[in-house]
Amino acid sequence: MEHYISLFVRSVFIENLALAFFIGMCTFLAVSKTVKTAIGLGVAVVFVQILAVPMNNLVYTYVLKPDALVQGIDLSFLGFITYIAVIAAIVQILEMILDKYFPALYNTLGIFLPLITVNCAIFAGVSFMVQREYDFAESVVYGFGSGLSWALALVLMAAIRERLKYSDVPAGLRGLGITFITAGLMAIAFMSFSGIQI
Amino acid sequence: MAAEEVLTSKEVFTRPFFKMNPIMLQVLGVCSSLAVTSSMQTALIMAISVSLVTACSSFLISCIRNWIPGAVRIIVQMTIIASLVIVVDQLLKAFSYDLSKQLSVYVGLIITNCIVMGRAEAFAMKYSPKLSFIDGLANGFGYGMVLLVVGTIREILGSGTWFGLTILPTVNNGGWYVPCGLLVMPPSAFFIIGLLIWALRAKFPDQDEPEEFKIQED
Amino acid sequence: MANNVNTVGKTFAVVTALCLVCSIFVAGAAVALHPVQARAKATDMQKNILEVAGISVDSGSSVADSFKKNIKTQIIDLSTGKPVDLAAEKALGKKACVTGDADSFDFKSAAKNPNCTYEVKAENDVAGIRLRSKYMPVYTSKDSVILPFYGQGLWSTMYGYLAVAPDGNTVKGIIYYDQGETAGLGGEVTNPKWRAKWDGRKVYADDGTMKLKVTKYGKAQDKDFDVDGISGATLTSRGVDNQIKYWLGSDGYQKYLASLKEGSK
Repeated sequence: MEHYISLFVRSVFIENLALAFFIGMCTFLAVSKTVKTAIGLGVAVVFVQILAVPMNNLVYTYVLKPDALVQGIDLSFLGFITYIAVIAAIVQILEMILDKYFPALYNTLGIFLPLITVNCAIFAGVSFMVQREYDFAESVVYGFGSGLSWALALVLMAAIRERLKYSDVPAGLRGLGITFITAGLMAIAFMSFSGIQI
Repeated sequence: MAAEEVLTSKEVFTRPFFKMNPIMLQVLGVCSSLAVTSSMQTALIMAISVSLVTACSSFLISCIRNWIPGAVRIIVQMTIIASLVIVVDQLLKAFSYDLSKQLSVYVGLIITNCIVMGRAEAFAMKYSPKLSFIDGLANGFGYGMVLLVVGTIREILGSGTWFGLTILPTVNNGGWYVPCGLLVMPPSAFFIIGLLIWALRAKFPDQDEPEEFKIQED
Repeated sequence: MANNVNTVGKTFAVVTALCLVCSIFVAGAAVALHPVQARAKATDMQKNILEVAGISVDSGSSVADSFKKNIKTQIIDLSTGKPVDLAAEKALGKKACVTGDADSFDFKSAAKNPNCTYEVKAENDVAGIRLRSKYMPVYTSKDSVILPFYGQGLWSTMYGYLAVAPDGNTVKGIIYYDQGETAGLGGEVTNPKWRAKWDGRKVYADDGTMKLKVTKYGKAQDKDFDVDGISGATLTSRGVDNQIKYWLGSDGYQKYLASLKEGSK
């Protein structure tokens, strides 16, 4: 149990996808203008991540891994294309299920779901899971943790940017420039989590 | 398509460097620009890989653009891009094992690099293969240029080397230069890109973002 | 557009054709490059082992040749410190841990193989290993034995080799071949200047207790046992210290090294 808690804390704070590995920056910078949308996208990412990482873990363990399907056959070179297909499929199915059974949730999250297929946060979560050879239980924890880490960073960033609007920033830095610098400062703050061991 | 005559190859090629730089103006493909720029070697390999993938995928997508059904557009583009990235990854593993280890997951992330998708969707679906290829290549170069500038600053001031060659002999190696620790840390890339954006906008003031003004006037 | 491509039939046709072309392209590349990749991977490992053993590759001969000429690979059982009998191991059939020859044994994947795995007890697990292979490969050259080891650093799992003299006690070199520590700070573990600090250090005191350690930067006092840590990288240094503690301790190579010591007397 301890191991999983440690993995969780590690993936949320120390190995924060957005601020320690700079994953999903495009969306991170583009969708962090207001807290409300940030929360929406954040929840959607956590949702998809918690499904996509374990799912791809199963695909990797039982299909792609060397010797997994047939003795002596190594399909791991197909990794990238399979992961992206699995992610796209999950997003699509999730969208349909939400639309049918949870229309209220669909109305709030729906617009973000298509965005997620091309969000590197999901893909990176899957890649890290494969690279670090997590087992199934670990991958569930990691999927949740890494999704949450990204969502957390996104919401924090949005909150800062909402305030930042009212400040007098030099013309050239306004918008994108100052956002980058803010993100840099946040990343440094998050670096202080490094070395925490549980 | 009438629009094709408006754009000459030269224009298509030069635009992405300053006027429409993918990283600085369109906020595309930022992830890898931050993570791989602590040394020039990885930055260069990344720049080349992304340029190649963008150029080839734009070319291929443009070639078959009239046959791609609208409903499965994205997935078709994704398949082409992913195939190309797999090949790049395999090549790196075969011929530059050490670098492929350093780049780790970031090679795979080219698939979701918004530059590649963005160019496929915004340009290659509309223009001829030749122009798309040039556009893809130029956007890759525009991206690569930022990578190399950031990489140069970070490696020289952060580690005292450039492409592994000693420029400023560091104290650890018996020299005089005390390396700036901040610059080897990943967050420094944010600052450098932020400042680069500022510099670029000082030169091209039309790129300034106006929206926030309205709120201040209220 | 001249033809309407948005019918179901055409959509299927396009997607099928595309998948076919892409799969042929990708599979072709993967199959064609596989031997080159395997060689690149093996060369990378052999190069590191040769480097830590202090053997330079003669000009004109390849890394693989020098490796073959100078290095012998052995698989040892860490619980006993004795070499594994490969023939007996093979006779176990499906329950075997080592299936190929010693050179093709991969301790990383073996750690997750139920036949091979060994769970490190929490109180021993200073280096954050959790599961390791019960057998480890050991590389012997004329004047050193090279022990693979790994463990948590600050950010990453660090993989390295430690070369020890045949007396089982004197460190001859260390190399990290895979680590993701902060470049310029923790990443300095790859700096030859720092690696040189390990030369000639002793691992065990006369009574057999493990005394080799990595200190904080500037705090190394004992000339026989202390290795100075890296400036500005206290946590990475601590990680290295923990790795050494685990792998040279009783759960690691201690029994094997003790048997070497016996043999060299």
